[in-house]
Amino acid sequence: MKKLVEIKDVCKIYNPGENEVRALNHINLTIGEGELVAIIGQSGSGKSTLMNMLGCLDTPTSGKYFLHGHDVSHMTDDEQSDIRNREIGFIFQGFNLIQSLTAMENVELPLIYRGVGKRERERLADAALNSVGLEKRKTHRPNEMSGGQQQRVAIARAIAQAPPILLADEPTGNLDSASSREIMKIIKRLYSEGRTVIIITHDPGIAAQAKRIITISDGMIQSDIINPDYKED
Amino acid sequence: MSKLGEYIKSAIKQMKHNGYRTLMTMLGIVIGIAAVIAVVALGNGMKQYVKDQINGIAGNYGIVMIDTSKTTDFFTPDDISLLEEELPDIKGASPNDYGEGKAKGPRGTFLATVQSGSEALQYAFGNKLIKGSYFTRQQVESGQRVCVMLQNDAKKLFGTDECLGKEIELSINGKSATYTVVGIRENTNELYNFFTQDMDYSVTLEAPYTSFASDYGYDIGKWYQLILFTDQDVLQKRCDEAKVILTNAHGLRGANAISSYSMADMTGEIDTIMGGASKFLILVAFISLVVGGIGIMNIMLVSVTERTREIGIRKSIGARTGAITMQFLSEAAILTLSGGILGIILGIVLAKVMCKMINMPLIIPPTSIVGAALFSIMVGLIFGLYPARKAAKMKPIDALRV
Repeated sequence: MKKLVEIKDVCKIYNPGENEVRALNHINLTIGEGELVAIIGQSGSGKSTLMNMLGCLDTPTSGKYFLHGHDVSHMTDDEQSDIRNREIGFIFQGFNLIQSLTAMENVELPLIYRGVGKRERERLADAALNSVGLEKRKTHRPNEMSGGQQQRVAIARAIAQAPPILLADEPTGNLDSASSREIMKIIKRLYSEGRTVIIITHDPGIAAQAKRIITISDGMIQSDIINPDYKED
Repeated sequence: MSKLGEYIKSAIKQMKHNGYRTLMTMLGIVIGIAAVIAVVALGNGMKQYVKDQINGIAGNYGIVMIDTSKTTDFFTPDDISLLEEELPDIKGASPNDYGEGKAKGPRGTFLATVQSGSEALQYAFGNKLIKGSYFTRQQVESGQRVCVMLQNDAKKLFGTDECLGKEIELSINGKSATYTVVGIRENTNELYNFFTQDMDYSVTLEAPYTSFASDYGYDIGKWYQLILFTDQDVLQKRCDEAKVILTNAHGLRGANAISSYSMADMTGEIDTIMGGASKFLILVAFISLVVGGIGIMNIMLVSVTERTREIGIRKSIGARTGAITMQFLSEAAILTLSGGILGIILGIVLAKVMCKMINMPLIIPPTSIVGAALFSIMVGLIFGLYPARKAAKMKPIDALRV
């Protein structure tokens, strides 16, 4: 299995000085291509900081982050933007769709930033929306859709540009249990199609659906196990 | 540049989304641009109006003067002949003796102003001859008692403008003589009427200098100024030439006794005055545009704060700083351009209404429209830059946390 993500001795310190908070404390972590990983921790454990780090939304105070073997830990804002655009598909707890845009336009957005032409963009966005079962909601705006549907739009947006990593931050946190099951089903299907999926959650029930479970607390990795109960659907 | 197209599309969408606020924000720009367009149109219309009116009253003429403190010489009919010979393209030259007195016709006696000169005096006024004919050189040289009057004056004196061949009694300086009407001129224009409206009613007559001078005791063929009539475009040149010709003829070189002045100088002065007024008004309009621009900046800053989360989302899925800057700059520019277009329309309507009200020609130079549109885009770009940079520099994690 090829190394996709490699984090080496990463620390993230907020408020350096007297009241410093070590959100990440010498973390080492490797994730290979095609893995389904859950990172579980209580709030304040540092899991969100880790997710920001993995998603190139934040830079480490010390240590290094290699993506595809390239050091991405100290890049300019624009370089980070490009990495996020090409390498990472985000699925957020709060969906993070742009309210004034339709489902289709939301899905097209990352492709616009990548510079994909209109025709190709529409084709990709169309395919992505179809694959999450939203054929009939393409022209709807987020406020015209249920939470589960919005999250499916967000997933379509994340996969439209076919990034190698899907980063899901509490993807079911705002959803009822039926929608949660639906979303997890889609996420697992994406994994089975060959994508690397990293789920950040505080919910053991969600984490239990992953193949590998990493537990984090106080900014340190407590355990990193292969889930014995994991079963392919 | 498909990306720019995307930004513009999303900007228009955003504007529609905030319809009412968009309108209120644009208001400053709308008013500023409307003011510029209206001021430029009115300024041009006014300039044209004043020029037309002055040309209407005065025609195109220049004056050559002889300074009596520097020489005992004066102009004579020979000088007129000389000018006509040396400057063949002029319409003519005339002395101008002028007297005030009374004119008596069948319908009563009125105050009268008499302009006397050669047959070239017909070019002195812009109003056309509508009946009869102007007195001829032959009539001037033979000293006939003939005159030309205005249509309104004819109606006053005779009760009709069908008065060719009829006579009036003209008294000036206590002397009286009878003159025959040979021509009727159209009435003078509005500006002239405006200048004379508070004066006592006075009829205006034109008569040959020969009969006029001998009847009322003026020196015959002894003048201190001559009027030169020619086309506007060569007026200045011909006046200067006339000055040289007469200076040489009278042997006054170096004495600086003969000077000339042309109506072209006067239209230049009008341009200067009107130009100054326009500049001032444009400055005022410019200030209102700057104020409008600050309004735009303010609302864009509010918009950036409101849309922090959107900015975070866009950045998290790969928008570069440049893309966010461009997005907000396009929004500001489209906002001000729309304001500019509304302002142009409003300005044209305003100018039309005002020109109609004060009866002036409407002149809207296309450059002012293009200029106003470009300037309104500029206002958006300049005042949108700071909010756009502020948006673009947000860190995605900070922006997403909101």
